Amino acid sequence: MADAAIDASRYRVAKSTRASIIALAVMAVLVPALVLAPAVMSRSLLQDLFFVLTMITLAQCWNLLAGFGGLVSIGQQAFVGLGGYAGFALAILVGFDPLAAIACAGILGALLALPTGFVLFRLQGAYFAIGTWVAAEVYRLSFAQWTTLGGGTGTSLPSDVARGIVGLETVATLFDVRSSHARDILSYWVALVLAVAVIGAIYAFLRTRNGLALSAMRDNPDAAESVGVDVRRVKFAVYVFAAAGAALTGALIYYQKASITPQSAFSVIDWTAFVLFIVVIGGIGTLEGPIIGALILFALQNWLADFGTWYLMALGALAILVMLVAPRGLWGFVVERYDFSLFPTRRRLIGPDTPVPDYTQPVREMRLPHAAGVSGADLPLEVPTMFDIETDVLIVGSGPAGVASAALLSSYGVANVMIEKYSWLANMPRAHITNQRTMEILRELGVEEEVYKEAVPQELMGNNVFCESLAGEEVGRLLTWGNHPARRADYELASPSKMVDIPQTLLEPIIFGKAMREGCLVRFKTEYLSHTQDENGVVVTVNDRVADVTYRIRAKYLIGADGGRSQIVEDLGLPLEGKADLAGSMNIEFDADLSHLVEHRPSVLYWIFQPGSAGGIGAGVLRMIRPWHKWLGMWSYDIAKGRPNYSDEEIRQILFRLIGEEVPLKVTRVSYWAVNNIVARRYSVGRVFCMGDAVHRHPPTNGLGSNTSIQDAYNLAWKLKLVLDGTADPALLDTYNDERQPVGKQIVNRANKSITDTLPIFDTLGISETETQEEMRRQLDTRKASTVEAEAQRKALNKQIRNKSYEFNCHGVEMGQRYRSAAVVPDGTPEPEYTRDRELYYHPTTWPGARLPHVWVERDRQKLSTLDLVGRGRFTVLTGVAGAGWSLAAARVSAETGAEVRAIQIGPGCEINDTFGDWALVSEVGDSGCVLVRPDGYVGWRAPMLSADPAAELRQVMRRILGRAA
Amino acid sequence: MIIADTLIQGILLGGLYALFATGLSLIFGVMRLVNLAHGDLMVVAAFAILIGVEALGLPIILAAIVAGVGMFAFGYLLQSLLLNRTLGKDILPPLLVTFGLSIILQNGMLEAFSADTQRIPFGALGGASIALGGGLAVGVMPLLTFVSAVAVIVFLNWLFYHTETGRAFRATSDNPEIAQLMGIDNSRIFALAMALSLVVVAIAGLYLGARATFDPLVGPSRLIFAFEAVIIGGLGSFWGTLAGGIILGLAQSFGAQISPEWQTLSGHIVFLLVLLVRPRGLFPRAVD
Repeated sequence: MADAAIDASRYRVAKSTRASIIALAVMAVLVPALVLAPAVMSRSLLQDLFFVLTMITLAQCWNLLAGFGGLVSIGQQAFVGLGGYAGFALAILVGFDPLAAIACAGILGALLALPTGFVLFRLQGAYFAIGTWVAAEVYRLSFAQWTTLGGGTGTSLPSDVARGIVGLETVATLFDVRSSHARDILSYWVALVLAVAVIGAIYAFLRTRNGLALSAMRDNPDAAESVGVDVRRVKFAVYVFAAAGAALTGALIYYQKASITPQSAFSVIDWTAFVLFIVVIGGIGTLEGPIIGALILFALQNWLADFGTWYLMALGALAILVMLVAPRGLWGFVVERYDFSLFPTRRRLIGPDTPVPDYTQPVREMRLPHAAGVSGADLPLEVPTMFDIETDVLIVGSGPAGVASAALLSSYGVANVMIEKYSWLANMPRAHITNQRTMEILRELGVEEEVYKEAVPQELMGNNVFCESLAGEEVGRLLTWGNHPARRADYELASPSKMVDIPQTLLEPIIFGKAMREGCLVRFKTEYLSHTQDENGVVVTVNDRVADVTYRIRAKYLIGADGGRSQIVEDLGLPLEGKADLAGSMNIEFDADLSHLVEHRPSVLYWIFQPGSAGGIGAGVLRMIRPWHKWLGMWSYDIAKGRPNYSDEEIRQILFRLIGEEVPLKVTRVSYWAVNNIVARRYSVGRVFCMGDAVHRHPPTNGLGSNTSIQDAYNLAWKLKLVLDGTADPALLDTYNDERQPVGKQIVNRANKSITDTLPIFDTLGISETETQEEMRRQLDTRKASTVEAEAQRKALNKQIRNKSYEFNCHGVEMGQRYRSAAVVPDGTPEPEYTRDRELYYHPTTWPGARLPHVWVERDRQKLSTLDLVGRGRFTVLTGVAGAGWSLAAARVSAETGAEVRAIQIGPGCEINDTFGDWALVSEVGDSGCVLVRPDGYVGWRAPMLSADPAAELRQVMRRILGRAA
Repeated sequence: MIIADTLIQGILLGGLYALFATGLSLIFGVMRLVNLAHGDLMVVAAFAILIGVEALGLPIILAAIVAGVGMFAFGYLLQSLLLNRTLGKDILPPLLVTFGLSIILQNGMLEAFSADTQRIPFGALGGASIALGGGLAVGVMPLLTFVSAVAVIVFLNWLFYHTETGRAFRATSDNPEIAQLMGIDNSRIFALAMALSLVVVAIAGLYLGARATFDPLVGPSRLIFAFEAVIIGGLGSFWGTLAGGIILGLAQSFGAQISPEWQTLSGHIVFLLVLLVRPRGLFPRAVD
């Protein structure tokens, strides 16, 4: 599992953003400037700055409590007052240097927070808030009794005590100011140190495990506790820290004011109301918010102070408005729009070689669209624990296209993340026919054997029965899925892999497992909400449906594999053509042992002609899910009348009619679906590529849906890899649309046509209009008559049943697509003609744009398919005995373009032996010629023989394929 | 003798606090809203009654009724237009919005009425007392306050436990989501609860203004008493709120015997002690 180790090393966790690095740089300039400011500043300006700095510190402490810790206190004035009084007491009564008194006041604040917190922590939520207020009142009333410090009227700091602060004389001399001014300077410096230290300490704390957990537990204490964080301890520590911060600030403020009263020191307005408004207006739950809020408060105070009470009313109204309209405050608004963080506390997962994204690009509003009914206040204020994920490719949807993309990209070494709205992969066995081309892709992924183990083999798939019911009269039978001896040869010759039947519920986990082993990161219960793209990448907003948290994933490319109701297709506005909801059908999954009815004619599908069954996909169907005890009954309904509401008994009756006898059965699930005939005219826009049912929506006839989805993924994966590693120009990605859209159109048409192909059988039997079983049975009997009419009827019926080969033996549609795009370089030869029916028969050729023909070859006594020689994310040049020149050319071109081109010589004496001589027959080039095969097994170019300068020729071809021609 | 007198004064003072607290208890119980503007709303009501009596010359009872009706309407509008938008899992928005409202009301009143202390004139009744013999006497006003508190609580209990509206209140309190599913319009119920709470606030404002002087900034200190009474009594029980008020009144009365400064302080200390022993109060109605 060396791969896993490499995968892990491709990611790193980033704790900084470009903005935060800029912020650090600005701080590195700003802080020294602020230190030196007293030299040039007037005393009043200095006092203003002192006020702002102290308010920032208090606001940071309160924000830590409420914004991060979820502890809403309206009693922080307790500690401001406490600090103020403690500072005075220590300086006046004990004779401490004022600076030491301030420091000790902080310690005292922390010490007194212990018993206070002990009482208050017994309270929760609003009780806690009121408790803090009462505690502050207790402190206020207690200090008002302390007559030594003036009791209720307070006291002043004697000027000799105030001047006793260390360094006062030095500062007074240095700045040539009076001692009171020097005291202001010293106070200002202490305030600056305090603010920086508190912000730094909170910032450092928030980036620790406990800090991240703190915010997590604000939103969900139980969950945080379950990951091993002691909620109460961390909260208590935060409470004590905030108390110490408030006490330090209080001691400093009152040292600077030099007088104190209980009313002012324990003022709920000054030390809680203002602080609360600062934090809420600035942005609660952020470190930037309190700073901005303090500046706003200061500005408002300067402009509106003359209006006195009006100013306070305006402030109250502003806070209410902010809380209601933008509960995350001003900074929250900035962050939401620009994902800009000066003090990033989140960690970001960065994939290999990810350049730092351009955070100045605005990101579209990320409100949850489905949360319209939720008031803004209910949304989490800030979710610092949620990662913003960065990756190269984001895959939305884990259906066949999604898991295949994840597995292929991961095996190519491309960093990718897959998100899925639901909690697991497919829960319904809808897709099941897995054709050879898909099996070849699974073969490359190394999961082919695993699939064979789970799957029903081809031999058991193909007695396609048309009957009045499973137990009733059989009208005809068709050997399908390559089971007719004449067709079996076609199938066996075409591919190293066999067609199988494996329900989606079993196939997806196999491919998913491969993706996981190769390093794909998966997030279930994560819903795509919206995306934006620019020249740097795609930003996708997703919602974690477990935590109901919305966050963003940054990717260079987005794959929309989000199914038939694709939101991405809708968001991109991809033009859809065709019609939806053409007919209604219901799937009834049930358990019943039907072996006795099918063992002489094993098949996946049994088509049942019943009165009223001609809608839907053309007839009633019993489909084997697992042989022969798990089944799916398909029955149509009139879509114009809406979804039927059958009782359990009616459902059972439908099944009994299909089966033709009342066997014991258990219905496990009923679901409804509609026949669609829709294909997107474009599959991609910019960096977003859609695939699977998102862009081709059609009925299950021909069994092409899941197959085409996986083949879509195979077409795109290698192109993404080459563009992401810089080998190919992004223009290569356009060829995904050019190559796969026509295929989508073809299969949608084919599947819908197959439905209508069933109807003539009803007509010929004369049962299209019959309304009762009896009437139908009489009609079925007409073909048994010895009349001329009956003979004509039998002949017509035979022909129409054979015609169903277009649904069930459609090898050419399954295997024979030929691409035309800029990633295919024509060799100048005309397209080979189709010698047989192009839909029914696969025509192998090495003509550029066709899939490389399969033949068996041998290496070291090991039987290999030509397809085993190619793929795995690299180009391959297949050449013959005389093609050594191509080997040299491939090596040179590999080195020059960076795209791996491997040359393999096939023939006697070569690395690969053409044991049966088949390669010589199908290669369509000479022994010195070559076939250039793309990573997806399609021929990109070929040369009939060695040219004068094979390297130049190959280089030119490769540059064209990689989009670097011009 | 002093003890008996203190006891009676304390209990009667508890009636006033219970009156302060009942409106708070009502909305706290129905919608878990902590109304930090509750005290200021009492002051607003007191000013309203004062205006009715002094400027319009209405009889006190009529002025109180007019104020009650006005407060009912104000409460309904306040809840439906503003406070309903703040309710949710997060306790911060309602706290902050009512805090902001408190600041607005205080300063608005300062602007309108200045910081002068006021008193609602109650005439001769204001100072009257009834002798109980043995040197004991009870003031008419304190007695009236206590009787009013009991009457309000009896009325609210009847409303809550014997009417359709009360059932809706209780249902919403127990489980707002389910109540909504049962066809109760929560926002209307909340608005009604707030309106009712402000009617009680008007009654409380009458006694707040009549029994002592008040000014625009007195609300928060009265609010604290109200909270203490609610929390000591336990959430959601009106009789518990009365008991909480009485306990607080007794604590303050006895504290005042030590020294006047100790009156409020001893109330707070008893409150904190009760919380230490029984964090959910003495008579909680239900698990919250």
